[in-house]
Amino acid sequence: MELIPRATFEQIRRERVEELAAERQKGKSVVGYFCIYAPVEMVQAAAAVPVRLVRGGHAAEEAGERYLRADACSFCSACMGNFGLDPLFKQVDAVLAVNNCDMMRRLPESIERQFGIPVFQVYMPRTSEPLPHRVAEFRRQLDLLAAGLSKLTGVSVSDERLESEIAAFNRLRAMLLQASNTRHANSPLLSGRTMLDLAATAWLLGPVKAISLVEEVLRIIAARPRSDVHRPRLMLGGSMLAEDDRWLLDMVEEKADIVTDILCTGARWFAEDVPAVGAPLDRLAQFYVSRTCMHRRPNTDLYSHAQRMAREFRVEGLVYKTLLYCDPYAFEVKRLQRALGIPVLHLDTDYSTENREQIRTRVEAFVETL
Amino acid sequence: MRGWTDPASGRVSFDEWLELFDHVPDELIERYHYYGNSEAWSKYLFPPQMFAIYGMRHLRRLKFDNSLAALRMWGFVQNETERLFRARQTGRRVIATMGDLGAVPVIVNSFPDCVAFYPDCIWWTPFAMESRVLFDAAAELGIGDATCFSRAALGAFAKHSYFPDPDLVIASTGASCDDYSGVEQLVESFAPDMLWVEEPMRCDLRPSGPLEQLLVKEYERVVERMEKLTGHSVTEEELREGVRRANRVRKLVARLRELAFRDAALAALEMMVVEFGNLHYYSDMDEWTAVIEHLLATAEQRAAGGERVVDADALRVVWVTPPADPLLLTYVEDAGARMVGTEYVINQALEIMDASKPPLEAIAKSFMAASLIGTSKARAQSVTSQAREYGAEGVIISGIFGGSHCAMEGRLIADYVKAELDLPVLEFDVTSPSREISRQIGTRIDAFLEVLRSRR
Amino acid sequence: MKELLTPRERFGLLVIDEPQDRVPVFPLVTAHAARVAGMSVRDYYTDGVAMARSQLVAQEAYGTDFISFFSEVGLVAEALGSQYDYPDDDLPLLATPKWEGLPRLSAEENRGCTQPAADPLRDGRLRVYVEAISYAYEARGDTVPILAYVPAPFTTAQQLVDQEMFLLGLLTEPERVKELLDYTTRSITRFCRAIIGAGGLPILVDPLASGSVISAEHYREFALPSEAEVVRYLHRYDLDVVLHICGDTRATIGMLPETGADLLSIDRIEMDEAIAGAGQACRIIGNYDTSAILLADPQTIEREVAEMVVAGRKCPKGFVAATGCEVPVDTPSENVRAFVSAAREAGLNPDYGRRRRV
Repeated sequence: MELIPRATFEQIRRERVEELAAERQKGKSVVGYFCIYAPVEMVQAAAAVPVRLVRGGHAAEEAGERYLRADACSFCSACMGNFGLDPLFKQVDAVLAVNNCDMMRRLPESIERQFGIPVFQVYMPRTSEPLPHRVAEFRRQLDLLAAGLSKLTGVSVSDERLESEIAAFNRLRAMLLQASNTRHANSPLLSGRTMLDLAATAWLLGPVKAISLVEEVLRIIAARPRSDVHRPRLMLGGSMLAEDDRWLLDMVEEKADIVTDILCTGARWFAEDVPAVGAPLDRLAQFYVSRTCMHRRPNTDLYSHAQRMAREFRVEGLVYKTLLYCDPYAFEVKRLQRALGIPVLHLDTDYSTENREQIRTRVEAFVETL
Repeated sequence: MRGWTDPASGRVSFDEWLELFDHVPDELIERYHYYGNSEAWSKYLFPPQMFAIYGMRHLRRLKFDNSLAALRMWGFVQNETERLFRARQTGRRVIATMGDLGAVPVIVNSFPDCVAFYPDCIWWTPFAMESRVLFDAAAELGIGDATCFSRAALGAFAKHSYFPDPDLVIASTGASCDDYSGVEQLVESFAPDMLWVEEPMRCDLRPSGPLEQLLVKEYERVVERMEKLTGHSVTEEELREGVRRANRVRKLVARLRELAFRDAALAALEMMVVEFGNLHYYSDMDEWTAVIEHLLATAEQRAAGGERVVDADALRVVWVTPPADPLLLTYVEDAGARMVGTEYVINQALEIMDASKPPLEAIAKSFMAASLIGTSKARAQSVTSQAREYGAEGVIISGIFGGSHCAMEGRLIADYVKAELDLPVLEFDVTSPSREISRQIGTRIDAFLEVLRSRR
Repeated sequence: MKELLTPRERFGLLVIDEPQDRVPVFPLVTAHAARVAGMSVRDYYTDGVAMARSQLVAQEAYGTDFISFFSEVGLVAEALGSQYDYPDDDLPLLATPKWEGLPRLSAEENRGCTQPAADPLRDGRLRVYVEAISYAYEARGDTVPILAYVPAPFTTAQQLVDQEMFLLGLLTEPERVKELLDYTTRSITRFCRAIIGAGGLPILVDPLASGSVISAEHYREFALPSEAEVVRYLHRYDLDVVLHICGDTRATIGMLPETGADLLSIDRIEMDEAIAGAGQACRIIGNYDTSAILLADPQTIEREVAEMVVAGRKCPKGFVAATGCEVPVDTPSENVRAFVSAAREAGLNPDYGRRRRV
């Protein structure tokens, strides 16, 4: 039985959306963002509410296709669609976009043009070596962001507020990491799908409420009896895995355990903390510019991270799900296979539901081979 | 040109050029050499038939400008694979520059005995050969179909037969095409030495000064790596000279564009080859400069004499994103249109550098005009500006299905153009290499041109 | 096993003096292709599409690095008016040459009326060749070089005139011989032009200029200049010219580079002798004995071919593992396969593709 039913998470989401609507009535600004490079600490320090927009969904994808071409990635199409369909997206007053992949870099222009939602565009160097001039430029970009956020909310992004938010988000990351690490154990009690739901909900709730939720989950885990049943231990990877992609996790976890992941919507979000020493914006610049992602160049850090996770969690196989036309991730399948040296199931699909039985067959066959 | 007189300007078929070539005197064939070399292998004035025999089958379908200058250009350009190997054989260092399309070679060419080239331009090779060979090679390494044709570059690295293994790969990435960034990442395993260079993202409303400073730092790293490779400490004067030489080519090309767009003095196919010459001068800057000067002299003469290579009454079109299949340009011109503007994602290579600035700053500033680092709106503004200047009647946007920026930009650019100028826009994807234009695309182009005609 | 390079890529490296992944392999499969494709030899040399299809089948079956078109040395002579017999299942045979004795081509009655060159689209079976080349080029020209043997002026002349009279003429009427060679050269260059237009790379074949037929002195005086003239013509197009002289070339090997040919296809000469005589200037193609490929067993062929490749790779300009002349029509397929597999294996270059620097 799931530690926390899916329905509970959905209920929390609905309630949060209602909360946000009420807060907006009182003048609060909601800032939506997509990726792990968005400095959420700054948004919160400006007294705005950061919400990660990673819903996905077939209906949204179809709705978004009137704005984008059929070969735009499904996630981008779904984002465009969700601005008209999803209650959370409809609460967004501004979008914080950090350039990562080409399609996501261009998405904000479509959002601004089609929906009139202002965008804070932040440039972060794609090259991963944190050379001083690159970090300095990103640091300058954060200054520009701070000014923009302050103008939006009327609240200055002060060092004091930043320190407070950095501490809060670090605490949240640590709690999520602690929860995720319970899956080191054989037959983990926390499933991969619950972990991802927990992470998604944590971003939505913000540190204060989310920490309570995670603490509760940890108490439940500690109290539950262990099982000795061994099931294949899998790692999950690939393109952005949206909230609407949970069907895949349900499918995989019928016969196996997802014990870790290298997703930006999963463990990579909380893998490290913002450093403790130095001026807050300097620390944030250093922290975010050093985060790994497949689109960074070179992306060897992500490979090292994946290899480490595979070792630590005794992973036996990788389920690697890419979105159609998501080239930064799709190009790396063969290389990843060689680097990890474990069986890899590559699923390349959009948000449509028609091919799910085929995927089920492939997942079952893959698990059986392990 | 002694012994030769250009026929009345026009476009000729592959077979017609063979007949014209019969009249080219031996003296002219002996005259043109690359790398300032005098040996037989460095000649390049040869007709398209020669390259077709060695696999470039698509040349048989194209139409060519019938001037000697154009023949010379084609021979020079088609010869590049051999030229790169000869560069290595004659003691030059070969540097693969990737991704930035125009800036880094200015630095590389400032070093003695160094040749820069863009593996990016290999994307035309599958079309020139009507072949999947390079795509299949890329697929074995992880890049399948429904991605940009630039994946051919990865196949070429794997084969080691389209250019010599470079001494250094300088890969620029950042606010750039994802597909090609992915290619660069996978190329890393083939590169004996690789330097990653950042391409900053440009926001329309903010001053670009700090981004230029970032680029200057990046270019200093390029200089440092080149110095390590060559053992040569490049001077500021050498870099200035590099900028001057590059500017010379850029100015010549700017004038050629004017003559082509305003006076139809050159056809679209040749102009595409000319524009892309601004990237790396087809691996011999000096000889390419001479080729361009020859072309310009021909174009000036035509313009002065009122001679056009395509019909004066042809429909005027701006083309966005270079077509991987050059036959499309032949097709559109055969159908009664001509190019009066282009946005071939290489704006940065057309920009004249500010020679009054220190050289790396000059290069950095010119790179701020890069087509892909800013918004689609900025790119669209380049399109509308040319459309206004030369009275365009329509815009064609060619893309690649599955290509990263194509998926997002095409519609945006089309919307901006329609909103600004109320011009019809045709958007389509170039299909895989084949002998002819797909019927569907041909029909769409025909219908589009009919719409333009009906608006006259 | 899938190879890294296509034959086209491999040949491209050879002709620009770059190392390849392995030695190119070229048993001269010409009319033998008819057997591989299951058609009669007559169909092969009278129908361009049939000729092309049989070559495509053979190239795929054997994995060779070239497609080459050839039927017999009288091709141009036939177009100019010599008569040939066409046996059902054998190559054409010269029945009646155009002229019994050496013609007077500059005679008063011919002044102002130049003997027309053969028309490749109309005369004889030249059109068959051109069609075959076009077909194969469209089918596989991106991955495999398409070669076409063109009978050289000296050999063609001996198919236009009674051969004994011709050879006598070398001694008694040399100027008339040279006029005849000029005449044949014009037709041959015109034919070459048609081949070029169709996408083929002409190979000049001059078996009747070998030491088996004429002396080295006569070669220098008559055959070499006419070969050089055709090579010069082809070099206007920057083509890499193969000169094939089957038979004995021991006495003339040192002269062959003077023709300007870029690759020499040799037959009855020791490999090291050929390399010593011409290997600094020309790539060597050859030269496994055609009787052996017909009659020997596969194991012998494998051993001997491997030895040949080891010797041939020493050629400084480059080497193509080939037979000395055409693979006989009825050669067992397993023998050709043995040749190809042995040549491939012995010709591997393990250093290919390793990162190299100046």
